[in-house]
Amino acid sequence: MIKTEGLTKKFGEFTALDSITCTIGDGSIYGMIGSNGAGKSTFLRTISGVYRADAGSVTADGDSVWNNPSVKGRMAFVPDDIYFFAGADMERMANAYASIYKTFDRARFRDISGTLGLDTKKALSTFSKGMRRQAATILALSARPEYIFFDETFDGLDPVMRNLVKKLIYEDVMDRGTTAVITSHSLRELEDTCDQLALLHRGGLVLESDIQELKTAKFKIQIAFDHDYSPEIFEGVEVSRLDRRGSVTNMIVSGDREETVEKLKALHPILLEVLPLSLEEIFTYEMEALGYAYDIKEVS
Amino acid sequence: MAQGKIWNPKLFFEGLKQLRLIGFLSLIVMSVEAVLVPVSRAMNNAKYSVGVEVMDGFHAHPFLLLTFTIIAPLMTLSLFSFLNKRNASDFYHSLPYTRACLFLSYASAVLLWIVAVAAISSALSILTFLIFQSRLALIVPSLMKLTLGCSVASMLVASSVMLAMTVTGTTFTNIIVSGLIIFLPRFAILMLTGVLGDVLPILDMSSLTFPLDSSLNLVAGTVIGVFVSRAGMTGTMNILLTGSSQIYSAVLAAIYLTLACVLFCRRKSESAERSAPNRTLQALFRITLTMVICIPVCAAIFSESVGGGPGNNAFVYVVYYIVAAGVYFTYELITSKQISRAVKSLPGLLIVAAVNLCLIFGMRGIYKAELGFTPSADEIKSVSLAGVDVTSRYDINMYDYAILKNSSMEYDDPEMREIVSRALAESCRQLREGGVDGFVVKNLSGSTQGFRIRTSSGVRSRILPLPEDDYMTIQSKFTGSKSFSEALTDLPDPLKNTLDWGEMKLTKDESDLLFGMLKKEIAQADPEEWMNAVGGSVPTLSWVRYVTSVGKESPTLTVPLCPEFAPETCRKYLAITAEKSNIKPDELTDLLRKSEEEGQQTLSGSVFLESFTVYVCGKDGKLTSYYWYPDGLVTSDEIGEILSGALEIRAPAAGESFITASFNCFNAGNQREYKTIAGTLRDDAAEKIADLLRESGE
Repeated sequence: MIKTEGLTKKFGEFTALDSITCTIGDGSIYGMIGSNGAGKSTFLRTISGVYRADAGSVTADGDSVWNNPSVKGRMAFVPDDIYFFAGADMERMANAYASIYKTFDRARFRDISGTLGLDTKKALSTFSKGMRRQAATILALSARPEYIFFDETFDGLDPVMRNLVKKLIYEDVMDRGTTAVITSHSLRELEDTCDQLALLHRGGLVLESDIQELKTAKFKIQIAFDHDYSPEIFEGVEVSRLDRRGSVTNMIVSGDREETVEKLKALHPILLEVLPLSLEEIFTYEMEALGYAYDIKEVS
Repeated sequence: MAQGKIWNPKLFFEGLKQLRLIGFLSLIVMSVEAVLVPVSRAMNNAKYSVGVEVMDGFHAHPFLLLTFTIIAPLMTLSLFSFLNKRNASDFYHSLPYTRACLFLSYASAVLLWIVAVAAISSALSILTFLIFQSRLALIVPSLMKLTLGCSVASMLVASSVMLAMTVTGTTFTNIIVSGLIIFLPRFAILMLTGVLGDVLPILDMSSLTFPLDSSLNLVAGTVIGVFVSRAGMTGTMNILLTGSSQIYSAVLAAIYLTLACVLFCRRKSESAERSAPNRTLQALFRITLTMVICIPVCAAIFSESVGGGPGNNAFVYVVYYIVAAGVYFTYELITSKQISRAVKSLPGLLIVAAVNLCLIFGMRGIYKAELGFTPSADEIKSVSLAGVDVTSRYDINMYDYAILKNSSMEYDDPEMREIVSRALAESCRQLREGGVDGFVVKNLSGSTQGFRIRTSSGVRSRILPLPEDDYMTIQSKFTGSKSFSEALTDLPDPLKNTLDWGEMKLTKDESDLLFGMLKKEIAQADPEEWMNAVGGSVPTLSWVRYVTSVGKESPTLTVPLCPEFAPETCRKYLAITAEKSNIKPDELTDLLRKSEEEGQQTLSGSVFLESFTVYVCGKDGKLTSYYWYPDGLVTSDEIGEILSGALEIRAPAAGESFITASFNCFNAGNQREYKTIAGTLRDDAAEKIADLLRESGE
């Protein structure tokens, strides 16, 4: 389990991470979205021990990550800006990884490389950006780490490759209890992949929640009456947003769905419909509730 | 999971692997040179029939100097270049190693490559010399010392570059700050002590000790020395062989390495691609770089302020300071790429000005303190005479050797202390009243002597002009001492395989035998007469040159073979020479004629006379030598006519006159043959030749 408490990282005057406290459970896929400069990459670099926090702490299973080889040996990080040794091919990098990570799985390396059709003896400098990203992902996955961090990795992969990589991550999470942290600009990209989602904005963690909980805890209700009514009749229902157009009212409601529907049915509406919310809408409404007035689409 | 707190073998091997291109290229270049030098020299010597040539480390393997001038900085910059790229820096810092482990494993990889390149190429050089030992003799200790010196110098360079790289984040600033770390302290010391020496000529700058002695730093000492040293190239390069310099540089390298490791552990990965981790360091680098221009100006202003400079240089100083300001802003512009940052750095110039003032006034303070050192005879505890600076000399003679051997001898008698006190007070007075120019004019002629003056506050070295009487008194005290006489006639043992008898090709046994005889005979010589002989006042047959060891120094000593002092050795030498003579008596005249006809022209089939000497033994048994030159008034025919029938190829007995001659003969294929002859000459013939040469004034 990775835990950050009051994690703060500054670059000169600029605060890249502002007192972030979060918990990333074992065997989960933790997604983090945010706009450019939100602090996603800084967060990953700090929890992987590349950066030293200016304040607060990062621990993995209770041990500090910073300058701690025993913890860092269980982590693999695929950054946004990939680095390979000068003139290296994938075999050379695999040898280096094998010397660094005891858990490095050569069979898996060969297997995935073959599946993705990458020539492991070709100089990595001749690879396209996407292929380099694939190569870095293969190497990280072959290291069989307990914690694996992807910084906007999916954003640079084509759909086929993206699904394949996702499948491999799922396998590791399911079979080995690996914990994955993935950052992205795109909420849609993470929506069907992650167990937990967090929104980072201007260095602050503004939202962190379980995806299922997010999806079920909020829902949209469309309701209409054959008589005039005031919003007060919805007292007892946890309405976070209400929009009335003529006789039809649209509400974003939190709480237990069945219980809410029963309460509303008792008001004898002529129309009562419960609609699912997209993750984008949930995030938008949550942000509004927290006082962040911006469109989630700007983020994604 | 690879764990490593301090050092990790896998990371170390990874470092070695990453350096393999530079490493193997360096090894190939150095090894080829190490083999080619002896092979080419041996072939050359075989072609020109030169005897066994003795070579020291510098001449045997000069490319060793590349280890610290090119290979070490290149390897360090290459392996630690990840510190200059954000993605690379992040990658390395994400690896499961401690910072210290990463640094030390990679640093050790750099150091191993450098030492391996130096050691392997030197070993190849030694092996090649062994193969050609009939033509070449390598002074192995010299090469080993050079290898050690270059390795230590390389470590110093590598650790300096590492230190620079931990506090900078671009290649440009890496190089600038490396240069500042390596050279600036020594450059500043050299400039400031140099100008002090100029305005205070009584200071003995050759006796500077830690920390002012620039030769202590192997890298700065040799590199700066090439441009400014008075010791010449050989003297400058000898710094690399000096044990104290090697120890000092090794300690300095260890300090830099430790500091670099500490800073590496504290370094933030995000410092990559930034000229400096913070504004304070950025300002420090900028100001320090500017001081490189300012230091010579400070030295010049100080010199002028105490009457040492040419004067009226204000315009030049202003130009220099404008250049310095230009460097200041250019550095900021290049590293920040922002004009606004350059403008904001303006207040830093005030710090530059303050440092300049401190330097100028600091030097004035030192100047006054040195000029104020005028102890009375009672305050002087003892004095000793300054030794010989062997680092600047190709070779030394036995007189120099005796001085060197006795340079630590202390004199505490009242007369000596009085002479030194008086001379010092007078010199300081002249400097105070007339400045350096007045001092120099007053002491243009006359003798000077270097002293180390011991007082209760320590030892100071001075070079003082002395009245002739005082000078003679001191010389007689020194040369009249028992230990000086003993040293003068006690030939020190040669280092292995360093005996060089010139063109004569002697076997090791012959060489050792002759040296043993020479040592015995010189030990019996009258020290005073031998001292004159060493100065060239008596005929010499030849000489022997060898490397010996005196304290920390390893000078090359040249000893003359004088029949007057070493008759048995000379007879043996002549016997060996006669045995090896490859000129028949009747061929000699022809060779002399040819050498006269062909002179010094470079013609195929030429004959060049190396030497033709007639040693005439007088009735008192003393020898007088006469030389004949092809372009003189006496012709070869005249000489040949006298020689005809009067020359016998054998070693002369006591009281017999003899000749020695040698020629370089070239055939049509430009192949050289070295021809020698040594033989006994009938007395009347010797006298005739002597008369001829004497009359012609040769």
